[in-house]
Amino acid sequence: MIEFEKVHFSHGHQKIFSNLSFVLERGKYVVISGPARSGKTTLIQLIIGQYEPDGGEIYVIGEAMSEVKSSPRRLREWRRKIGGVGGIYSLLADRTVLENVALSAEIAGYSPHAARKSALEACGKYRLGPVLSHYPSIISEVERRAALLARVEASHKNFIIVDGPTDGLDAKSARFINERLAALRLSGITILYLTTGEGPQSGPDTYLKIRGGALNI
Amino acid sequence: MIRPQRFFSQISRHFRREKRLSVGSFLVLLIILLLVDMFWLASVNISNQYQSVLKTAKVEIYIEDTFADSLLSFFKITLLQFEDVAYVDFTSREEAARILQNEFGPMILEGLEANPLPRSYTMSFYKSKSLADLDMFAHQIINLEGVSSVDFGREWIVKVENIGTGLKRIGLFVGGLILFVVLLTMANTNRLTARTKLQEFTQLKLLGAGPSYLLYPFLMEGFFSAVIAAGTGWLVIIYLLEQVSFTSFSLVVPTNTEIAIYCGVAGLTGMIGGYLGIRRFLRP
Repeated sequence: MIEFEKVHFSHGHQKIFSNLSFVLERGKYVVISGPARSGKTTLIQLIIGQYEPDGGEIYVIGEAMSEVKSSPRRLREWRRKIGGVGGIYSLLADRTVLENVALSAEIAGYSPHAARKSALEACGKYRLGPVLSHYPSIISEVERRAALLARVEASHKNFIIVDGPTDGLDAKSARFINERLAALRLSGITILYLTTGEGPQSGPDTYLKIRGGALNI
Repeated sequence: MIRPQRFFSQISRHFRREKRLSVGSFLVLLIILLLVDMFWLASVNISNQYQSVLKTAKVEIYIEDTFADSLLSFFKITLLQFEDVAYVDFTSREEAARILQNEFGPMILEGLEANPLPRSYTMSFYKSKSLADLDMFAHQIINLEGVSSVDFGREWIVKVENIGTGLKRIGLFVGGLILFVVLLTMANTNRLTARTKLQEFTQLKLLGAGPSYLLYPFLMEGFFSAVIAAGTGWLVIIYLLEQVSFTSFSLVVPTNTEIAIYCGVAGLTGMIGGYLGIRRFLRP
């Protein structure tokens, strides 16, 4: 589904990735762990086409990212296939939880009625019923992350990037989020899980560590 | 594509969040468009005044003292044969003296040995004549035997025409300038709004939102702000005109269709301004 082929990337003089190669296959659940500033968020930004590698190539669903980026329409279509939770993905401050959850489906082309219906179903799974009409600033952190996951489910994405979804959460809330991810994995969704910690104990197929601009098992 | 209900919720959300910016830009638009309205009103009325001057134009033909009274009836027939002549009225020396005395008092002709006033004809037309038509007509009349002079208040007509032409030119220039200001105002307001919504824009783009999704609320906001400002401007003008009564002339206000077209043009300008303000934020 996603392949990094000898990717080089630097932020100014700071080298982030050097000769980075890895493959994320369809339907797999991969955890990439690494300390802060190790390049996890940069990895996401390269995948979604926010950044361009200095060298090498990134392939998404069999197509070179440089090709995808050359057409704004194709880049948008690629981004619509991705569900993002945490990191650079967040809720919109001036929309209610329900509106936020329905947003991705709406952008993906669902009718307002279908997007709302799908959002309500997803919110139910994440126990967001009591906060549907609340704004993100007044709900708890776990509810915010649950809302982001619900947004992914409401638009039926088949590729999810989660960036530190359980960071800062208590054990019970973290378990709930990880269980939902495991359930999504079972339904055939590809998951890329980035964390500063160890990641979920059960569910993922592969654990990788990012260090010094390279990925190691 | 964004749906209308989302658009209205976005507009109200934006208004709630950016009250001062929204109210400020609306008031700026209102004041600018009020200026356009006043120029338009002045231009329409001057032009109307000019047309009415031309429509009521009367030509005074003064007869030479040596022209025999017996020829006057033939002379009148000659005048009646000109195109579009509505009537030809004769004014004798005595009648002219009476009119003069009525206007300036019985003493006006006192001390004069004889009545110095000439005989004259007054002509008017069915159709409104242009200045060129009247000039040509006067030229034809003056060449008739027995005519000493022809007068149709040319200097007044020229004055009104010059004011009308000048106002039209100024109106076109100021109108163009003001539409440009509307464009800039909308562009700047939207640019400021877009800056406050940068985080939202980034998120929407990450989710794959296209330019139309991002652009639509701004285009509509630009359109409706300008349309409402233009409409309100006219309501203010019409209200003010109702409070003031003009006794010497009736003020002409543009028709509803003209005002609707004007509001549409203002809306379109606001929409273009909306696009100009936001376009740099549309890159994926």
